[in-house]
Amino acid sequence: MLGGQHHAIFALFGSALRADVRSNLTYVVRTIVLLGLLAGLSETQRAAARTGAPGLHLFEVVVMMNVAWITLLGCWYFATALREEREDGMLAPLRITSLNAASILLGTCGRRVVRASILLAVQFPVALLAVALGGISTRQVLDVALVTAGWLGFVTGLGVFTSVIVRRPLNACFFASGVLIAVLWGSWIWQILATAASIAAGGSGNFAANKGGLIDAALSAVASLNPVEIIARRLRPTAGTSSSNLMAAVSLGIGVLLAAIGWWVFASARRDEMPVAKLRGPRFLRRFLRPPIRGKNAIVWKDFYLETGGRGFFFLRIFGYFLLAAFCHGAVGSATRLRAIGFPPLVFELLGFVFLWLEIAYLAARLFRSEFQAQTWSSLEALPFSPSQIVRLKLRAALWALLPVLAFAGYGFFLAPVAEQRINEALATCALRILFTPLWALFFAIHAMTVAHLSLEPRQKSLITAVGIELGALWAVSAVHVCLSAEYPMNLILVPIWGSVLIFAVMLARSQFWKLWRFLNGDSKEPSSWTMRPR
Amino acid sequence: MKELDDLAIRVEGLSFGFRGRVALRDLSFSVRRQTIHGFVGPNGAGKTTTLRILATVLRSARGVVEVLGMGARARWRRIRRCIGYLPDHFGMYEQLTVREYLDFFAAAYGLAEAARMKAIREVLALIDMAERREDPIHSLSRGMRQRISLGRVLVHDPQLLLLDEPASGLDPRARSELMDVLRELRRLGKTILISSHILGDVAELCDDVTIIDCGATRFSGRMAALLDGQGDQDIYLVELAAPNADVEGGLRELPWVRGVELHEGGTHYKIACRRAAEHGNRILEAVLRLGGRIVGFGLDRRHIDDAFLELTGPGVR
Repeated sequence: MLGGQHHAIFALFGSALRADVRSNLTYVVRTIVLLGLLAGLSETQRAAARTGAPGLHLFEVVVMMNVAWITLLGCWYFATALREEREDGMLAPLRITSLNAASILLGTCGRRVVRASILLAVQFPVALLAVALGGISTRQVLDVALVTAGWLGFVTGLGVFTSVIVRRPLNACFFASGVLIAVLWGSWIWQILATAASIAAGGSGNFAANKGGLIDAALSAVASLNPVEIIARRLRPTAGTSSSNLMAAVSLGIGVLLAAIGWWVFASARRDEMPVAKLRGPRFLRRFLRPPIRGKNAIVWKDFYLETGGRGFFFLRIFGYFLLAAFCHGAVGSATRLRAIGFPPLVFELLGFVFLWLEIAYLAARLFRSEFQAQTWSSLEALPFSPSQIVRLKLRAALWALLPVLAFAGYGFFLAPVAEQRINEALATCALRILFTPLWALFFAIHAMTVAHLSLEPRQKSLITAVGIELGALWAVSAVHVCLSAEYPMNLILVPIWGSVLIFAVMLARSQFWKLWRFLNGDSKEPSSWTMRPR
Repeated sequence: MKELDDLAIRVEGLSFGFRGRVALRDLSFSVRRQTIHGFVGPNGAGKTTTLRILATVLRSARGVVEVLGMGARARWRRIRRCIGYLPDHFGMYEQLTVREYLDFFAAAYGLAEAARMKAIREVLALIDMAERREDPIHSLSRGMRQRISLGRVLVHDPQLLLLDEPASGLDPRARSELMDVLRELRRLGKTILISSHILGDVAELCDDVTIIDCGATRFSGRMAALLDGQGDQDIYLVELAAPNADVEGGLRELPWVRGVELHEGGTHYKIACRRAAEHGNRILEAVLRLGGRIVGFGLDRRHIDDAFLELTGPGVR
């Protein structure tokens, strides 16, 4: 019996690994990690002349990159571990086989952990290189590896728990992201809110004055799991005392506990066989969050409320960007905590740029993909609009959704306190030039187009592929420029030009732009046949 | 000219290909207004491609395609406002409620708010889903979804409906209810072109039928003509209580009888004769006069399955 169970688990695990091998995403992620390592080496070589301890510098870059992508995986990849089985209706057939709940979870979630662990393991030679370069000891490397493994365990456990409890992928991503944000920045966000409340009540608004209290204590306890701070303390002992091994064990333990709760719910509740619940919440709230269509802008309404998240997500983003802006506002003077973990002040100016880039990518990736995946395009294309008209209407909805991030970017550059000083600082660091150079607008346009046309093929993971191609292109241009001119930092005007040219060339070589062109002009022979690939 | 005005669809010499493969070759048929027209053929025969061209989603390469008297290539926008197209595979916006879903499509067709509310009320009453108007789409069964989809193509009050396999995957009750709705729509003056593999339903429901295979028309005309299907002759079936040699000889001597076949040991007769209304009575008189004891009599109508198999070839397209 046990043998049969093992065979079944390995069969499930093997099929999942085979699917991974055939997936483009696997190779894109590996390429991104490789490019990240090369960028870290390049940065270390550049910084070696002016700073000591090049090994420490290299190791910091690599470790922070690892923590960042493990966190990103936690927001999306681990949190939707059961998504494919649910979408393909495979959970019920799997349950009637000899597999028990633990085996199904192990088979579906296990391969994701293995993939992440392999990517961590292959970086071991880089860690040895860092020790050889000097500035860091083997003991520190092992401690940091433990912290990273603990964080991976926590994120995996959270993912198992989320994928079982939350059935809709988007909701699962929100839930997991919310928990991870609470762990990483919950204490800061609470401090900002408390400071704002203090100012509103006529208080001093002193950051430190708001310390104490039950919520602060709870959030501080949660924040003690923050791997970034633990690693910073371990690598730079002056930043505080270190108890990295204990915290790694606590993280791992919490992850195991969450996974066990997820397993128990999955084994006992059978939620996946139950019909999906009807709409909940009071009627006035539902109508506020999704009011009836006004006028005749049906497609704009549909895309705004279904594709971009509607009013609920709109207000949530305003709130999120408000918090971020308040954080920038409060932290720009002292920025002690950020500086303590090695963030340069320039990060505030770049935040607007990065979030704008990400939001455009997200919206462009959904432009066609969600319609094709849900097979709703065939209904939409029979409406009295041409495909290009439909796309224009969809873009209008997307532009509404971009308003919060545009406002945030504006705040970052113009409305921050001591605006003149900040603008001067920004000019000095070339940050303003990033937004004011028209060539970056071209870069954004190419970026949106790249993601949008990749989304014509829904199984290609358009967002990840496009981001990979763009980062690769920008990195390649930067590397070539540095090699040729031996000048650093490179001229920011050249990056978008050559980056755009390179991206355009890559996409042209894939003959993808022609597909998009034909599609928008409505003379495609059989759009749904080449866009709808069999699953 | 009057004949052309009576046509909701006119297709002549339509050819279409993609990816180097010919999907339609010289296809011709027409659909009369206010009728239900069946459109049948084997898998891969070109039914969906034809319907997509008629819905102006695909642009035809060669041939004449007129929908409601308008050229499909030039006046695609106007045509789309006058037709309702239900594709064979389609998804629905699962997060919306039934009312929101219908409202979205009504607004997309440019209906004002008051007109939309009225249209949604009427359509929900027609498809018998008024009580589920606030239910989210994802909570509905397949049959209900099919009804909502039919409601979606009706919400802008089109004159012509193009339905691609609307009954596929439905249970017999849901199929029967769908057929009732389609009959009601015909009564309301709509023209319906329906593609289906369920030949029994097509035979029962449709006034006219077009059978295509390998992208070409095999038959197009009245359903009765397809089921009679013997050219200018009728075939009568006569069943006797016992074999009678006189009856066979006597029938063969009748001048308008073209042939007599005996089956089941001489008790079942298959009599082919020139088509005329009075020949049925004459055969009965002759058999009785010749001493035969009749226990069964009728006109031999082909089953639609037989006609379909005769007109289409074997193999995968």
